This record gives sequence, C-alpha cells and structure tokens, in this order.
Amino acid sequence: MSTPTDLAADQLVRLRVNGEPLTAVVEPRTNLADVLREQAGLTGTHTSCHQGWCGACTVLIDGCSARSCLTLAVAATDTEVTTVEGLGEPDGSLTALQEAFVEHFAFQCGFCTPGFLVLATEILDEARAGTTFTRDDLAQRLAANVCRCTGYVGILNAVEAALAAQGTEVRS
Amino acid sequence: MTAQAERPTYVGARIPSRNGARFVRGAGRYVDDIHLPREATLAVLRSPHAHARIVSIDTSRAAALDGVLAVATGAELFERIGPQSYLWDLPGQKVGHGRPLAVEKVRHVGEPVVAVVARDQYVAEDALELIDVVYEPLPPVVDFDAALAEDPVLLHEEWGDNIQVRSAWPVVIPGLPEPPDAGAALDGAHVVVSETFDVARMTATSMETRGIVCDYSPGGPSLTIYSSTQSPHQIRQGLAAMLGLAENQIRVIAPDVGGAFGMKAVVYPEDALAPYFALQLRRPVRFVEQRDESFVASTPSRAQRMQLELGFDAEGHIVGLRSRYLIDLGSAPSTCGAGTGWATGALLCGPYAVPAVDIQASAVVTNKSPLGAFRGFGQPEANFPMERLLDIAARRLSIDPVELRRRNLVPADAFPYTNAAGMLLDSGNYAALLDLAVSRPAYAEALAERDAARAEGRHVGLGIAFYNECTNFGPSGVFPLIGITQGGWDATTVAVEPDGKIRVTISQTPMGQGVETALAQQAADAFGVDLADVTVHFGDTASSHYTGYASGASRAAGIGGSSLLVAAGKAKEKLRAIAAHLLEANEADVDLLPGGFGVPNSGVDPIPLARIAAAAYQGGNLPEGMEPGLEFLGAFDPMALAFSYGVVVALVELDPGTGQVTVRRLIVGHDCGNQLNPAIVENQVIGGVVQGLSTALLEELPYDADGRPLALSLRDYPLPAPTDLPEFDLFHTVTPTPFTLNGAKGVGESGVIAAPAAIVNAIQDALPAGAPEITAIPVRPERILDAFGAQA
Repeated sequence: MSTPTDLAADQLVRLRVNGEPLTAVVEPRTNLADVLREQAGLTGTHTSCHQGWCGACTVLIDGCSARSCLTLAVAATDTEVTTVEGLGEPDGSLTALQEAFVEHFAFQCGFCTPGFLVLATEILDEARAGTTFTRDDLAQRLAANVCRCTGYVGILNAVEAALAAQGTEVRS
Repeated sequence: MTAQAERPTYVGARIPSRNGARFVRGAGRYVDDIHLPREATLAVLRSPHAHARIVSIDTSRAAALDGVLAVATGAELFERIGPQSYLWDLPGQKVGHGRPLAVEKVRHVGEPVVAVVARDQYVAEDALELIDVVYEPLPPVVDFDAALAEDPVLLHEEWGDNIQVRSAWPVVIPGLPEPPDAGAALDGAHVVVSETFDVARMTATSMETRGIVCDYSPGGPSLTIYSSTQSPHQIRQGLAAMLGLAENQIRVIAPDVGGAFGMKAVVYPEDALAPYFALQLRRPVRFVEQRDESFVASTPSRAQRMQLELGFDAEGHIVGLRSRYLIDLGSAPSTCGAGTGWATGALLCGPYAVPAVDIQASAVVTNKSPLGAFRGFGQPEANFPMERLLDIAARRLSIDPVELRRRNLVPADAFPYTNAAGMLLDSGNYAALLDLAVSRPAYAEALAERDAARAEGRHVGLGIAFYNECTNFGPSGVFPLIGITQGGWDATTVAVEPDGKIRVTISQTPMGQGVETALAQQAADAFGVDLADVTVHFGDTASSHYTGYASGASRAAGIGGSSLLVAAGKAKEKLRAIAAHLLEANEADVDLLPGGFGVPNSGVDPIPLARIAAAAYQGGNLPEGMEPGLEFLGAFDPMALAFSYGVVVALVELDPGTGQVTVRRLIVGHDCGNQLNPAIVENQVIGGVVQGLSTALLEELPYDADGRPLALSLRDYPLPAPTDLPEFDLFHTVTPTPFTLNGAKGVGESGVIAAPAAIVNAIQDALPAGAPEITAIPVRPERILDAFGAQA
C-alpha cells in the first residue's frame, strides 16, 4: 500500500529480499508484510491476525524470525529479508525441510505453511550451530505459530525428520 | 471388466498431497493474493451496540475523504439488494430482513451498518472513522433466560417472541405406526438420570479469514467473483437472487481456500456488497475480513443448552430418552438457519439403540452474531450430553462405563437400522470397535498409568466416549422433508484428453481435506493410468458442474467419489466401443487391460488410451452414429446417509493448584468405510480430535452482560498449540457403506465429535469422588478449581 495521504510524508525503503534488492515508497504506517505481498508480489507470506498471534506472516530478518505484520517497512530498511519463496535450493529444488513437510502431511489448507517453514528454518539453522532440541523444545518453539487444520502432529514430525536429515537429531 | 484391470493401485495408498510442492514454496493462491487493475476495497462500519435503534447516520465526512469512492447505508440499499435465501428452511421458520446492512436497528455488536469503498484498505478504514451514527440503545437480550422471559424484549418485533423455529422428534408420519411413547418408557424405567448440559459458542477461526475479490466486466452486467468459499454454486445462486442477475451472469471461483470448517459455506453480507459496488462503480471491488472482524462477522457455532433424561432397565438398557434443548442462534438466522440445532435432535441417539424418544428443540434469537455451521454440525452438541449422561448413569447402575455402552450400541446384525428419531444408520460394527479400543496395549498402559499416578496422590482420570458421524449428506429425496432447499447429489466431469491423459473436474471444493488427491487416485485406478496422468480441476462455476450442497457435511469422498465413478464408467463404455471398432472385435469381448483396451488372451496388443482418444477426437473412424469426443458427466445421489463411527479414550491429569488440565493420551478408534487415502484420513481425524480437545478445554466466545463480545483477537480466543498435544494411538476398522459406489463414508467431522465428552469424562474420573458433575464445556481452569473446592 503506497497511498499518499496527508498523515505523513512517504518514505523510501531499501532492503534485500531473498537476495534481491527491493526499493519501495511507503507511508510510514505500512507494514513489511504488505510491502512483500503487494509491492514485491511475494504472496507466500500470509497475514491472518495482524497482531502477531498467529505467525502466518513469519519471515527471517537478518536470519531471525520476525512477524512481518508487526514490522513497519521503514524499520526493515537495510536488512536482509528471507520469505518462504527464498527457501528453495539454488537449483530450484525443495529443501530437505520442504520435502519433509510434503512427506509428513504437515499441512492441509496450506495457509499457515509458509510461516511454519520459515520458523522451522530458523530452528534448523540453530541446530546446525550447535543447539540441541527435545521434542518438547520443538513443540515450544513451534507454538509461536498457529495451525488450525493439522493438529500439529505432521508439522512436528516433519521438523523432527528434517533435523535428523541434517544430522542434528532430536534428543528424547 | 477383469479383476486384473480393476486392481486398485492408488486407492487405499498413502499418496502425498497434490498441493505439497505448491504450498511449501509459498505458491498457494488465496483470495487475498489476487489483485486486479483499478480495484477498490470495501470496508464495513459495524455496530458497537448489541441492541440499539439507529437514529441517524451522517456519512458526509467519510464520502468527502480523498480516495473514497462510495458510501452506503442499509436504508439506501434496502430496495437495491434483495433478501438472502436460506439454505435450511425448516417448516415454520421465521426470517429477518435478510439485507446485508442493518436497517432501523442493530441486533448485535459487529452487525454491518455502513459500507465504504475506497482505493485501499488503509483509506477505507480511515473513512469508517469519519462516519457519525447516532444510536438509541435498547436493552440487550444476552441469554436464553432473557430471550424466553415472560414479556421479553423482542429482537424482531413482528415475530411476537424470540423463537425462530421449533422442532420435535419422533416425527409422526401419516400411514405409519404411532411412534413408541417415551414418557411411558421413562415412567417405568428402573433408573432415570437427568442433567442439563451447556456447549459454548465457538468459532471456526480458519487461518485465512473470509475474502472476496469481485471483477466487473464492462461488456455487460457480468461478474467474476473470487471467493474464499466452500460452495461456489450456492454463492452464485444466492448472489444472483439478491442482485437481480441471472446465474449465468456470475462466475464464482474458489481458489485455494485457507480453511473453512463449515464457516465458509454460507452467503455473508460482504459477499453481496462487493459485487453490488463493483456493478455500481464499474470497477473491481475486494473485501478481506480483518481478524478482529472475524470474531463478530463470521458465523460461530455450537451454543446449545440441553436438558437430557435417560431411562434404563435393570440390565442397563436404555428404555427411553427425553430432551428439551435450546440453541442460541444469535440475532438473526444466517443462511444456515437453525440447521445445526436441527441436526442435534435428529442425531441425538447417536450409535445407540434407543427405543423411544421425546425430543423438543427451540431455536432462540439473542443479541449476538448470527450462528452458522462449524465442523461437526450439531453433533458434538448431541454427543457431549449423551456421553456424559451415560457415565453418570453407569455409576448409578454400578455398571462399567464401557460395558454400559456395549449393551446399548446398535448391534452389527441390525443394520441398516432406523432409529427412533427416524435416522437410517447404514452399516457398522460398533461393538467390535469398542472391544478393539479396550484391548489396545495403549488402553492397558493408560489404565496402569492412571492407577500408578493415583497411588502417588496425583489426579489422573480415564474417560471414554463413542460416537457416530452423519456423512455423505445426503439423499435429495429426503432434503425437502428436513427443510433443505438444495439437492444433495454431486457431479463430476471426466474427460479423456486427445493425448489419452485424464482431466477430472470435480464439484467439490478443496479447503485442506485432500479431496483433489483422493479423487485423482480414484480416477487413475478407474482408467489404469499413472497418477501423474490425471489432473483434477475444481472451484469454478464456469467449469465445475452444479452441485447443490457443495463441500461440507463430509460428502466429498462418498458422494463426490461416486459421481466420479459414474462418469468414468460412461467414459470406459465409449472407450470400449471405439476399441472394439478399431480391433474389429465384439464389444463384449473388449476389456480394460494393462496397456489399454483389448481382448484378453487374444494375442493382440491392447489399444492404448492415446490411440483410442486420437480416433475419438479425429472423429472420422468411429462406430456408426457415434458422437466424437470423450467428455462425460457423472452424477450421484445417495440412497441414504452413511454413518462413520468411532471411539475416543482420554487420559488426563489435573493440577489441583492451578486447575490446569493436561491431556496425556488419546486413543482414537475410527471407521469411515473404505479409505481412499489413509494418510488423508489420519490427518483429518487428528486435526479434528485436536479441535475437539480445545472444544473441551479452551474455546469459547463469551459475551458480557451488555451483549459485548469478550473475544476479539487470538489473544482472547485460545486455540490449541503444539504444546497441548497428547500421545496418540490411532487405529481403524473398515466397514464399507452399501450406499455409495466406492464404499466410502466421510471423515471430516469425526475427530471433533466425541473428543470433548471423552476428555470431560476423564476429568470427572480424575476429580475426587463427590465432586460436582461437570456438565458444561469448555472446562476452563477455574471450573476445575471450583470442583476441587466444592468437594473439599
């Protein structure tokens, strides 16, 4: 949304999204999710509650998971943002995490899926850096996001399988 | 057809979802992802009052805001948009004005009062703040007692009372024997148990809120509507009537639907407003419901209070059932009417052989948002009282709760079985499933865990509940008798393409159930082709065949799947005839074989589908008089409903200090007939059970004494989290229904029906003896603390 109003002057936002530069002129109140979805056309980042409760809009900002609906676009200036569209391997194939989501039926309607994938990507990154997780730890971390369809069992199984696939098994 | 050609290859296998690669790449396409050139955004000003007269509305400041394109009140639109129709139109049902915006008075917080169209959501919301409405507050009717009081405040003065419709069972049918008298049965019973039960108002909370993007064609009054809906044809039908258009002037497309659960099955005010303004402004108009709006603008469900009475003989057999119950419809019936309330009464006997019933239901209006459908559709509201009261009766009769259920389940040799409420139960072996559940290792472990925990002084309990689920809804011939204005059949188009690949166009709407995957499996098997050679299309009234009831009521696999088999059967007849012609063989000798159609054991290679298709589309070398082409429509109307069924065993632990309930284990036994894809079935059951867990413990839309909703965000409305999960033990039996072509029954609502009763039965078991009976859900921690306190 880049509608000029008399509330405040528009601002220029420069960031990198999935490795590519993005420049947008926005009202100061415009959130990052809207810029990603409507200016960059990256509709994989979904918005559902606009209050930070559901996590459907989760993206990585400089490698850390963040709610893009609660992040003002101007505050994301000069950051590196990764959305679900940026998760694939360079050759276009799916990551092991994405494959695990498909294999373990970790989605039904698919709406919350991008947020969970981004959240789980952060978990996998932490595991590679040495953090260890129990199944309960995973449940705690994934409780940041909401899925209404699956009952979470498939999602937990998929993340656990992806951790195992990268050699960072879940402690019992 | 030979047994070899019909061997199931894909049906019954755990085939991954066809949507996987798209969804994990973020390439799902939901309504809010669709943007059209020159589009404008609709926003709605909603009532802040539960009940108030509208004195005046001044929209001049909003209309003057830069970027605002249109503003309209209910009075201005009353003659321009006709009344909504009702999907459920029970005999004697009263209706509201049915217009999308309030007129003269508002009847619930959140009722649409003024519509604004602006260049985007930000400006539209700015404009809402510039509208001045003067209200004269009226006393709100917030509960059953107020609605049914002597000389009550009336929501709809012309009704004369606050009751929309009443229903009763048994239904006396002229010419048939008088139904047995439940009153006499209860009078003569050995033991009679009675309690009053409450099931809270709750809401679907699909992660994608409702949305509509409406395109306008300048070439005439024609609309293309992208809608997050379960039922594109019903939306088209409803809007055509409200807007005065022909149905063929409206095309409704349901792209990816981000969860629905019954909530997206009805026509909403914004569904009429967006197209209305698109026509007026001659430009596309979009509406995407914001999350705070969803708590007052999307239909919630449940909200029933039931007094239930069961009489037993000395052996524990039920001799009679009496029920008086109320359903809180909110301020005016949605297009779903009192449907869920009706279903509760009709399905109250559940899986039990109840010889006599006396059931009376009243659908009551209050100053809350209008009620609609939600997963389970009246069945959790029936199951919870019944399964709780069976446990209460078991203690009175000194019979084990499992044994008491076993004695009353409809026996396997009694199917098809018509119960005292007039429902025909198609098939099942209920007792076998119950016995299997209690012979699971997980059951023995749960019992041991409970006893060990109790020995340590912990409060752990085990509970059980049985259920059946009404699916494959439903036979069109029956619908007029129960007030449903649509047909219950379904249709599928199957085309063999010119290259021999298969294109299937279903009338069902996928919204996470996996129906497109399961039906692709069926099509691949029907033609003996690779799954990858089948495409499945859906969700577009311009290509999907009309279906009256669309996706809901767990009917996609049984009815949708059967209609696919009808179409495939027609296709195969023609393929066989063309093959016989090309082979110069007798048609009767030709079969579908591996590799194509041919004569078995003839030494001649079968003709591949691609060659038959090439001939069919070239058209010059076909049997005399045959039409070219290979597209076929199959329709299927079931003879009767099909009842899935199952059992849930819950092991819970209570924390007497905090009132927290932890569900440790859930054993879920389930039978939905033939499973097209067991992984999809499992996913549906688990997802439903977890919704049932939160029905038992978390979810509630409360209102204060002034009729103001107390939940307006996900902060106020707790949903289950991964940390709430128990250990699951899920198992299946398979009892195909005789009333579909594929033996499949539905699975969508199974999980949610009995989990609440099983969990509350377990909670009661965990409470000290003498604690008050828990008769209301959700069981929030304060209720547990009360129960411990009352006992001490």
